[in-house]
Amino acid sequence: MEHEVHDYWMRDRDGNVRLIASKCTKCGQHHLPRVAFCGACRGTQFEDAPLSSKGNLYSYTVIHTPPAGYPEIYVVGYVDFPEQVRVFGQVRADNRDTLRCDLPVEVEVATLKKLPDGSEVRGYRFVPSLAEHTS
Amino acid sequence: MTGVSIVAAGMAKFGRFPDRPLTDIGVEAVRAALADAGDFDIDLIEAAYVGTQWGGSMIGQRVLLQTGLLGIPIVNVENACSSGASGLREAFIAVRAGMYDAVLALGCDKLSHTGGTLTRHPDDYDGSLGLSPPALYALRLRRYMHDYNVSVADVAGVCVKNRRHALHNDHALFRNELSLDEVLNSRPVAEPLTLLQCCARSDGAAAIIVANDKVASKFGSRAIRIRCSELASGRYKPGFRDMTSPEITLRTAKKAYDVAGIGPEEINLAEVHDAFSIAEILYYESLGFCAQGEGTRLLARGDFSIGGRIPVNPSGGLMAKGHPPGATGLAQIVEAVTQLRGEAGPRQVENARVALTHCTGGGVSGLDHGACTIHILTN
Repeated sequence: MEHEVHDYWMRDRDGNVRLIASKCTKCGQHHLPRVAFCGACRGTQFEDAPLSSKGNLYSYTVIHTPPAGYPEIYVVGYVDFPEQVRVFGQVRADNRDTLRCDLPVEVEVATLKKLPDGSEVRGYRFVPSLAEHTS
Repeated sequence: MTGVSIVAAGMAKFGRFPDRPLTDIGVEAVRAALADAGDFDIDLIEAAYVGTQWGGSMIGQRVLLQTGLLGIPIVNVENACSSGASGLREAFIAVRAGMYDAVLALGCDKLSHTGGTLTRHPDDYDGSLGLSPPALYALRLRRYMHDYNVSVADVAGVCVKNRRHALHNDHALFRNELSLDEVLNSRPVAEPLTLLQCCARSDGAAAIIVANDKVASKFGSRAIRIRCSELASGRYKPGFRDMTSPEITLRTAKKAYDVAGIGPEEINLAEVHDAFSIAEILYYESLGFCAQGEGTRLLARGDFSIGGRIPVNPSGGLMAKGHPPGATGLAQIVEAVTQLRGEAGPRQVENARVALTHCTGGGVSGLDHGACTIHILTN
């Protein structure tokens, strides 16, 4: 059995995974996760707005003390998207030595953790952009 | 309007006491505060504000039951790492408003029986995706190293300094020195943070008796004046934020200095929330003790050691005492009071007249922290 931790993502026509932010219809500020009142203008009307498929890794850390259900070692970080929104998530790092602040990343969908009953929780995570990753 | 003073302060020894009930630890702190107060009649205390994060419902009633101090209003306060200090602020407000002559602020927590790192509430967005307190500070540290071109060794000097300060603090959990190599070579928790760059969980309690001018006058120079008692919640700021400059501490500090009419250059010593190595560096800067990006250089120069320009965490801080969140903010007050009375023995800061305490925490997605408290005290 599979669960999804958050449903804030979609696949676009090119097959890219895109995060879906909540955009204030009054001031245009993007939010992820959703909020009831816009933190910029206190507006209360929002529309779903897919974010760009790429962002930049503001900061990251390799965690060696996992909470229950997480891999023994996993990476998390904050990613800044061009729509002026910063999103937290796990980072896939096949080679952790290549990670650095401001690294361009994309979004993919993967298993993030397991629940006590053994079922998997899926959701989005970040992965270094291919061009960066092979260079 | 009356001034507000601390007339007595005491704490239980911080440590790991898995078999000891938290209520016993709380009673030890109350007993220490009463001993500090001399022949003060406990029945003069008209209300109690009791902070805990993990001690469960009715912590105040459960502890004070054993002291006979019941029947009065007891308010139990939860504000994560700022729980105890938030209770002190409620005590301050009540006395300042003229409602009571004397009240008790108590903080207690017990974490020795739990394992692993603390986690956020399951509903928290970032927490549900794997963010933990050490991971959050590791993210700040990584970005700080990137923005200011410093090494983790530069930052980890905080832990060496604070453990050295605690050599003469018999209420600390750890009372042995650490070398920088030991700190850096301890096992990784959330890179670049190693285990010894993270405060330990411990058990402890601290108690403060707060009084108006009429009561405080009976204590003479042992009464320590509270010049400001500030509390703020974090602001949700959508978009990008500079994680090397915590807006909640900046904002609370500005308010505290304004209210007290005292500037950062007048602070003689500070107890700040060194939950992780990088935390203390960020707070030197956001409390105005030095410019942004200058923290590690001045740390290495000795500015923040006992004997330096502004000794920070002369008690040894969370690095040496461990961190029972409900008690931490009031243990900082105990140290500040002891220093301002000139009773700190071998760790005494010379000419200590003005002390600042700072306690912040509470992981909430979208905020730097949930809560921040700052107190400025004078003798």
